[in-house]
Amino acid sequence: MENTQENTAHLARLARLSLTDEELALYTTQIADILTYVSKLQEVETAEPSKWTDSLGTPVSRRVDEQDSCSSEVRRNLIDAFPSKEGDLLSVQAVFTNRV
Amino acid sequence: MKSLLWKTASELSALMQNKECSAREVAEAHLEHAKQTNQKLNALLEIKEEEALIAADAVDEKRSAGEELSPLAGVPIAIKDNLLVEGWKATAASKMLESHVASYSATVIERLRNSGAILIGRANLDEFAMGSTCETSHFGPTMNPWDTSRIPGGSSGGSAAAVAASMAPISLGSDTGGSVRQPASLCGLVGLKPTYGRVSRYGLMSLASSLDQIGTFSKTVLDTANLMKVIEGADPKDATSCVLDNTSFWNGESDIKGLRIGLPKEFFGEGMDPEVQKVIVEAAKKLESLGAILVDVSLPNAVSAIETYYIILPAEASSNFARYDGLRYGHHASGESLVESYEKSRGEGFGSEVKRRIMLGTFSLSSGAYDAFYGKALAVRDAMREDFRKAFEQVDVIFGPTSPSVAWKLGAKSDPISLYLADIYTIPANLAGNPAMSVPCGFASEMPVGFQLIGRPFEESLLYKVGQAYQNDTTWHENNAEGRF
Repeated sequence: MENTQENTAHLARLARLSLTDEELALYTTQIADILTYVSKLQEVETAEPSKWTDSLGTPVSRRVDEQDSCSSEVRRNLIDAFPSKEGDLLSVQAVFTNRV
Repeated sequence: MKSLLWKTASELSALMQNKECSAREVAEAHLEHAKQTNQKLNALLEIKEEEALIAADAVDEKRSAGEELSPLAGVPIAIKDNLLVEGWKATAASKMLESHVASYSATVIERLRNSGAILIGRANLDEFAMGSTCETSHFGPTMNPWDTSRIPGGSSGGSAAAVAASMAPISLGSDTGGSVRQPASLCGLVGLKPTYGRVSRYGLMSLASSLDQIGTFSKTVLDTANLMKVIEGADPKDATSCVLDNTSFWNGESDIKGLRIGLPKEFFGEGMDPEVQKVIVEAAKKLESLGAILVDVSLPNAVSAIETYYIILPAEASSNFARYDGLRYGHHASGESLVESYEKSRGEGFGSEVKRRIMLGTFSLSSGAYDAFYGKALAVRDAMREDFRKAFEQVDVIFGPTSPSVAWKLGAKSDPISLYLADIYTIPANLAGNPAMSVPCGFASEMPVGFQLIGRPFEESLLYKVGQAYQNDTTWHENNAEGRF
């Protein structure tokens, strides 16, 4: 299967991954080879896949979407893991503006 | 006192119960041995000596007070470092989580602690459990105790090496496409991947959520069954975990007369090392001599297992790994914009195999490719499940090799596809959700070989029955790597 560095760069952008030039070249070839290999699956005759089943083929169980909480200790541990924070608030760059 | 090393968990438990040694003595012996040997093997990323000794003392106190204790009380166990233990680092052997500390413990960890098992440390793995050699770890590869120039297998290579080297008699790993069974085979151990849903995945870092299962390493089937009794069972924190009924437990039986064992023709075709094949065939004959009936069966879609797996796994992984954004935890690198920060954090934090699989998954799930790749893979998976269902109408258990070869030299394989082919026999059980277990059955080129048993969903008891029958009549599991490293 054909692949180009432009395609690989596009995939990387979609996947939010920065790549070096060396990685871009390497992954372009490797991804092409892997996709060629897995494309063999298209020759296999199959029925429509089942939807909403788990690995065992049983219907996926769902539970009520209700709020759960954690202990204050777990909460503290999570906040302590923030790379950047103000008080107990997670600090992040704005979604739509560039960093000043 | 005789050495407490190179013993099974059951043997150590009996010694402690008979007051021939204390839990502290058991812990001290294994911790000291681990400290001495880990430099050569790099099986453990961290040894938790102080915590282990405190836990061992607590077990001794309870035993002195006459409390009834679990068979695992005082038994050392190593934990794959993609399982969260509150307060411990949890790195997944990745730069992305190099300094990350777990905020809570996995359900299996809580259950182990309640049983009195002694957690001795974090075991090395392929980064984020992606790999079959334990070479992609950010913290360096693990070496096989049987031959330190060779891989231990992966991704749970550290967990396997730790048990093979007697750092602990048992360990936990995770198995998404063979990551417990393959290293078990390569290190001469019993390795079990339970039925999907048998063991709670709460606190296991997700790789592919429809395939992942926590699995076990030990020298014996008995130790496997005892360890599983502690960790298995429904958990409200994991909606995919299942309530187990009474029929799914093993009563210790090992009479396999009349049991039908299926040998899929797809598992005995090209691709297996001839020396390994000889050992596997001998093992099948041994089971036949014990009264089992060997039956030829077919799993027609098993020949497409690798293609199916390497579409589904990257797709699920690419979705699961979106959480590693460098904002709330993990490696953070700042960019000019939020998107650039994501890209730099992830680009720097992830190793090459992880990045490769994320991009493959991104491709498979993109419009234009979704139906042809991901949709197709789901359909083949359904067909594979149906293959197993039909085969199990004719037989009780399926038998085959675990790995097409013995452990190879470190660095010998670098091409991704040749590495993916190592999983050819283990992947089908993950895709279909069935339980599967590797059992040591001999040597080829002086390296361990294991056979694999696959059962119907929730029939781990039959796997134990067959495995125990085999171990009652053979001594392969009594071999160990002492003196080899």
